[in-house]
Amino acid sequence: MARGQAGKSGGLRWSRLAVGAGVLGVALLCDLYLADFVHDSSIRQLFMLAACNVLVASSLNVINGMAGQFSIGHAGFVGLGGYTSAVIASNLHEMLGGGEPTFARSFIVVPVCLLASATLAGIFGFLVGLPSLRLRGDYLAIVTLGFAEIFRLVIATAQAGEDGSPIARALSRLGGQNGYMGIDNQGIPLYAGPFWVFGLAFVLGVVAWRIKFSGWGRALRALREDEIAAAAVGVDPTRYKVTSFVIAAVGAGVAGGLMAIMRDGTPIVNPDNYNFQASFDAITMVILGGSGSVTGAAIGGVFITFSIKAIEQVQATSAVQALRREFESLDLNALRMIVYALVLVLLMVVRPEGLLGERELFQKRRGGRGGSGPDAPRAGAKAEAA
Amino acid sequence: MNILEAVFTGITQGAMIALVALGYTMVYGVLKLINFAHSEVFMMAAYFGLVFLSLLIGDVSAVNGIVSPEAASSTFAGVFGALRGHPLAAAAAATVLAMLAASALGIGVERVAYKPLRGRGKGALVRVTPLVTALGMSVLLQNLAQLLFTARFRPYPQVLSGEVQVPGLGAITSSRALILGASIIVMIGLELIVKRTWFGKAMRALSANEEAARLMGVRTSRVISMTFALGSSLAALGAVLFCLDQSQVYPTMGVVIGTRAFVAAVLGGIGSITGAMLGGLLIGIIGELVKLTDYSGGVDVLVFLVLILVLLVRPAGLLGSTRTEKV
Repeated sequence: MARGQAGKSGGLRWSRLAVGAGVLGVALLCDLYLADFVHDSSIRQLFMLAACNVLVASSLNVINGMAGQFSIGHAGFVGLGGYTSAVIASNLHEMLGGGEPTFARSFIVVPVCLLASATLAGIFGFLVGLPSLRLRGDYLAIVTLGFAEIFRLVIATAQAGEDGSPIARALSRLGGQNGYMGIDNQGIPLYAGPFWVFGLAFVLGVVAWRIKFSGWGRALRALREDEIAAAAVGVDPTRYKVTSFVIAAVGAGVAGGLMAIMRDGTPIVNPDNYNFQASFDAITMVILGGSGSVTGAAIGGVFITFSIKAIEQVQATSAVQALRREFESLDLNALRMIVYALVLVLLMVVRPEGLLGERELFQKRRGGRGGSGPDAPRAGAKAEAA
Repeated sequence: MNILEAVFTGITQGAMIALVALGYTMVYGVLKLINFAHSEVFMMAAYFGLVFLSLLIGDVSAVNGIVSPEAASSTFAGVFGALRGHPLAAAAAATVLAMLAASALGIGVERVAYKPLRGRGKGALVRVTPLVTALGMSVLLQNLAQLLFTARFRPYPQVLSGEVQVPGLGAITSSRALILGASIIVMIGLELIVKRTWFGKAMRALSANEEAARLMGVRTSRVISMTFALGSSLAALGAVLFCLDQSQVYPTMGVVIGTRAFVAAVLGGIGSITGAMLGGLLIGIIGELVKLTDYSGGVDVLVFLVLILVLLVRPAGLLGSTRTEKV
């Protein structure tokens, strides 16, 4: 937002640069010293997972929130990125001579992995986005679901065996149902430290913000509210929709790539991590924060990550353990998802627009012109009434 | 196993899938909403059928943890004891009870998750919000089943055995014959309900234009509830028939069959009843034919590929209608 102000006052630009540099500096310090402050590796993993989920949520927000399409197969892109990055990291690690993943070496490995993940996910995002020329709404959602399921099933059902076509052999090396654990099952080298995870979460968050408040984002919102009206004033629906799909897929690819090689993470990628449940989690993050809101998506990503962990903690408490002994026939492992789904349904009934709606935290008020968030829905309602 | 036999098995499988697909398509017809919770209603109905059947035949070994043997022999025996010793009558009664329970569940899902949202929200949210609650209800029901019934695979009591001779095909198991027969009868019945009764007329009116239907005196809320009840009871019938064939009940069965049924509904053109039947048969036959090849694990991959290809050629499915939008 506030493109004009940034151009006018040089001071503001410098302060922005300073903020950016500051955040990256903090991320760098985290990378070097986080392990000394936070001794529990599961806590470190949680923080980094939250940052990755912020990326997942903000990328899905581009399709579901800004463009108004409904993708329910986001986990497919995340998984594509995850597998790509895992395979490349393992091979690069082998080429660089193995050993412990060092921070200096991560400057070679991580960018290569993430570029490859982003490119591949982007190509598939283009392919999945193409049908949006012909399909609308629900049908497009089904195609995205179909893509995610095909991706997961192809990997999960690839059977080990050295016969068959080269493609089948390559796929079977990805480990099938058991997941991919690097070359010779040594585990994936976990290169991406906090510097990469937090740094990229920040940088891509800023990118998402700029997308929303650019002319491009405004065109997308116009398209969402009324496709025909937007097309009539010169917004090409096809181009914008497909591009938004590609952007979202690239973001998801980066997020998945980071998750797969995240330090303190698990050195394995498993097709079950990318099932429909994962797509559903991503949708929850976006909806919870408020679809269309960048900061909302970030809040949703962090909140869901932490609440999943919190419910797990609650399940380990003595009260729940006592309950478990009381009702032996019940399977209390399912409790987490029940609470989770219940909250989601209630939230939707009580407050369909999510926590923030389309508003942003830290949004400056601008008088008069400026068609950001809150005005758009009203225009849509008017168009519908007409 | 020759191709003819596989096609026949596929038709029985498909008929069953079509029963579930009809629920998706009817709800979409009246509400323009993909009821993702439908597959879980199917799964819950299988559990209802299992519990009722166990109680009716007096053998609760399959439902331990859900119903205690003491309760079955004392508390429930007075209610359910009448049919003991008549397994076929018990199975029929259990099916009817399961259909009733599933209807209640379907109406409940609609009341809790969809009704409060109707007519609310604005802009693009109008379509997206119910989809999210639908997904939420689906996750909720699936995990509720896991909580209450545990993730165990439970065997379904087999009351039907033996084979039937079919001219031209040889012997088929009588459960398959029953599945096929029941599905055909139900589909004809449904076609009559939709085309000939007041309720069917109201449903079609609602599907064409909700506001106009309400102005003409159709009580939309009641028709929607009845649609959910009808769809859910069909899913329950499908669930019981599925259990006759596969004889296992587990909490994720809704995902497996529900996904195929959903694809069938979309493939045939969601909103079109004939389309759902056609889609179900296609999916069933494709599934069985794939099993003849080396790639038997790839059934779902192929099913989704076919779906995407069909949608690319015909964006509204095989029999769906595309209306041009007026400005």
